[in-house]
Amino acid sequence: MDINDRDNLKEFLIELYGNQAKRWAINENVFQIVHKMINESSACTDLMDLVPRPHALGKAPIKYLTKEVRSSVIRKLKERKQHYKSCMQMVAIHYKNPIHMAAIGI
Amino acid sequence: MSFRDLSLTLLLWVSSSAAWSQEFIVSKDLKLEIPEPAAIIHSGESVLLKYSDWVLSHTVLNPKTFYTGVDLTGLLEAYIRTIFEPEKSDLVNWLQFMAKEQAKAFKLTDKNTHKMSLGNFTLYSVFDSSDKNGHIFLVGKDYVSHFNVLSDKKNYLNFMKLLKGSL
Repeated sequence: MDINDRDNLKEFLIELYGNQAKRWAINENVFQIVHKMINESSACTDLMDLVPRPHALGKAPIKYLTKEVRSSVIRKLKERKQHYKSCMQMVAIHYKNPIHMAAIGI
Repeated sequence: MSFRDLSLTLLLWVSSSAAWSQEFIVSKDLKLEIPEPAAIIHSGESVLLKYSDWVLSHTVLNPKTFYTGVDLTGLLEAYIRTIFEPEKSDLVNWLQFMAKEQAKAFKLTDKNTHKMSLGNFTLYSVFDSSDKNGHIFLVGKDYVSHFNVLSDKKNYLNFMKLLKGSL
């Protein structure tokens, strides 16, 4: 992930989880959990439309998504963070600790 | 007990005489004898205990911050109950809809949930085997404790047993 992707994803996670996310280190494992959250948020289907199908089952999204697709998903999260925060609030609770652990490298 | 009192209580750790366990004082009603963790991490309003192969966190849920933009003050206990027992809910429709979505996010099924009375609390729990992610809610009269267990089912069940034995 390049620095723009990291910054954009962090901005979205701060919106979703509040100030505690300011201290998180954004890495590929964090992205993978966010990707899973998007996938499981039925109200966020417009975002998944950006991802080419079929999705590679059992393969980490960081491996099969091109850099361009990954960046556009993250950019869209940032640009419409209010919208995506609303539709991801429920899954955000389920994945809060996994994201936190990934972000501190544990 | 105020939310602030509970948060302060949460941070009280008292070493027990046994080297392999510690007393985790969650509230005046709940004291757990838990194995000594490898690391203790503070995160927002939660405390996370890291073990070699599992993670336990505890949060006293804040009705104002459980969701952004929705203040559940006075409704949080009923809301958590609605996630697990929607048929008994008398909440307004939109809150029932949110609870249904939350149940979906927790991947609730008839087989992976559990409910029981424990002292002054009602315990609701769900374990998502695919993500190895379990949620346990202790719903009291005026507050809700939330435990999150990231582990395989064995550690999750062991923690449930510990919790049941402590109340």
